[in-house]
Amino acid sequence: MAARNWWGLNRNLVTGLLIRGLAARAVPATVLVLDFVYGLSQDTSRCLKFLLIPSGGLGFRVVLSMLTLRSATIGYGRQALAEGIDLDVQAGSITAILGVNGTGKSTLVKSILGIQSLLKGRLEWFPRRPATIAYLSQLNAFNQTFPMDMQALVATGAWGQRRAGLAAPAKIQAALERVEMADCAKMPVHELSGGQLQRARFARAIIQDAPLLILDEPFSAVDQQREAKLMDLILAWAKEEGRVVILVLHNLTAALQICDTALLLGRGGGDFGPAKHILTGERLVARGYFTRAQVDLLHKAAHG
Amino acid sequence: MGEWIVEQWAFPFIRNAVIGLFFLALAVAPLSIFIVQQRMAFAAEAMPHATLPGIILGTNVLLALGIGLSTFWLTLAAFAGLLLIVWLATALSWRSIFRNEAVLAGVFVFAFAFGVLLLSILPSPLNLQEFIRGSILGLTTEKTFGFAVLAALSGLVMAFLHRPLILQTQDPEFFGSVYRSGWWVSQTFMSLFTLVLIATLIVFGTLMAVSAAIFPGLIARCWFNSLPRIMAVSFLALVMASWGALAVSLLADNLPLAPLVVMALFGLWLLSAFLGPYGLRLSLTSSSNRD
Repeated sequence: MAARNWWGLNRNLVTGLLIRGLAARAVPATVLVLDFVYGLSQDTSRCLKFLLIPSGGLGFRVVLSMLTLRSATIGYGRQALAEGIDLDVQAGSITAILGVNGTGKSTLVKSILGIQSLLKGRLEWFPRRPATIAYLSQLNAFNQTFPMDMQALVATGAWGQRRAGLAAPAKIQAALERVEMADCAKMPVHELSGGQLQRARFARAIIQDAPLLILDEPFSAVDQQREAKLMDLILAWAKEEGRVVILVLHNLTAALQICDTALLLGRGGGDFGPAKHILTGERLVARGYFTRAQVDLLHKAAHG
Repeated sequence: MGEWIVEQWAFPFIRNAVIGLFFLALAVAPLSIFIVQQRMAFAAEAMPHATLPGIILGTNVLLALGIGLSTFWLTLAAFAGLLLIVWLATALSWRSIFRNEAVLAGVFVFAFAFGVLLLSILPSPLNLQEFIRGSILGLTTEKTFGFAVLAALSGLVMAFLHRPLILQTQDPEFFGSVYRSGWWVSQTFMSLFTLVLIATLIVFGTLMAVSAAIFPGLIARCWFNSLPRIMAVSFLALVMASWGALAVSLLADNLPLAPLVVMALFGLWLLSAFLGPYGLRLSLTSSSNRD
């Protein structure tokens, strides 16, 4: 039941609108004043300007983040993997999380999902945590011998949802067509190859129909032609339907191609910002993602 | 043959045995495949031994209170004791970095060792031999009715639990994202399995009770790839094996039931493994990603 106050209006709605209205005016004004008075550093103003999207009327509109992390420390038990992580994930955006093995990518994802808690810092949702978060985990924990056909596996995507619970056959069929698996809908899961299984699980994420999708290495074991099609699908989710997508990637090209923002983890910390500013040679070397020699080689290859 | 069946049916204890085995199979059928799929078969083998402390403490408490050693109270004591052990084991294995079944097996064997020590300190008037061997012909009408209630309970709990349980067994990380606090799934499932196992113990004895719970799932998996069918075949396999074993034990005077049931189940499994579409081939394709 929605909370109602004495004059009969939905209280959540009223406070929501008030906060939105205030924030929409106050935040850009503050940024402009701060910039004028103190002359913000290039990095800071770039980050802040990213929050402001030009629109009609007042000139600026604040896109409030669906999810923010503030000076978060992630890790297991007493071992911190990365400290001081900031993250702003906005409606309709695609965010890449990159880093070499063991820098805390999957741990961060689990913290966002609430499977694991942050060691330090804050995790905030606006207006609240979505009831459903689609999650494509890594393949290694999946038990492929469980008796089920592929269609049934895809249908389990509807299970966590409070309303539906059962996916319509037409919806399943459409999801299978998106990942080009419609012709093997009846195939037992234990007979699927790694790439086929990954695409089936991708279809399950489609069925989850969530405002936020977290995909942990979604293209592993998927061939390049189909990877491109899945990337188109991810782009459509964000740009046409306004969903939020967080991708854990090992592929720099994909990150630069489709991601708006990126979080680069490594050396016990992380950088967050627009993908093009974060995924630079300097930062990639600084975070241990590439060696200097690799960056030079890539640079040579790109510029002849 | 028909005459013989009619003749046997006239004995109330045989009627009870036949009906009791039917309901027992009904109770075991929905659980079997999950025990197999959660890789708990080996750990579960140690589980019946963990009833020992409950039984010994239970008999002593019951005698001290002057309640007497009726089947109902003894069963309750065994169940309560085992349930405590199982909760402890499940809580310890939940999100432990060790393999689930190693923790379970460890706790069950600990409970057995504790029971053996207790036995040498507190004398128990029970005939443990009967407890180890089980007895099918000792089924009273009340016990048979208890099995029917158990079958209904098992079906009901699994109807509520099957979705989270399937996700947890198939894709634990995805399960974690959907049901954020998921410990209750393992605890509920293990509690139900404990209850069913106690009933299985009464009939088949401690040494072979778990085999009767594991084989049906293995047999059914050879034939089908969907859960409802696997549960149905699990039920059929156990009912066929136990009725067949009952007939043999009645014909060949005094052969014990439990080993006969395990023989029959093993035979059915071999047959299924060779003839079923997902029999022996499964083990060749399941672990390799053919990309």
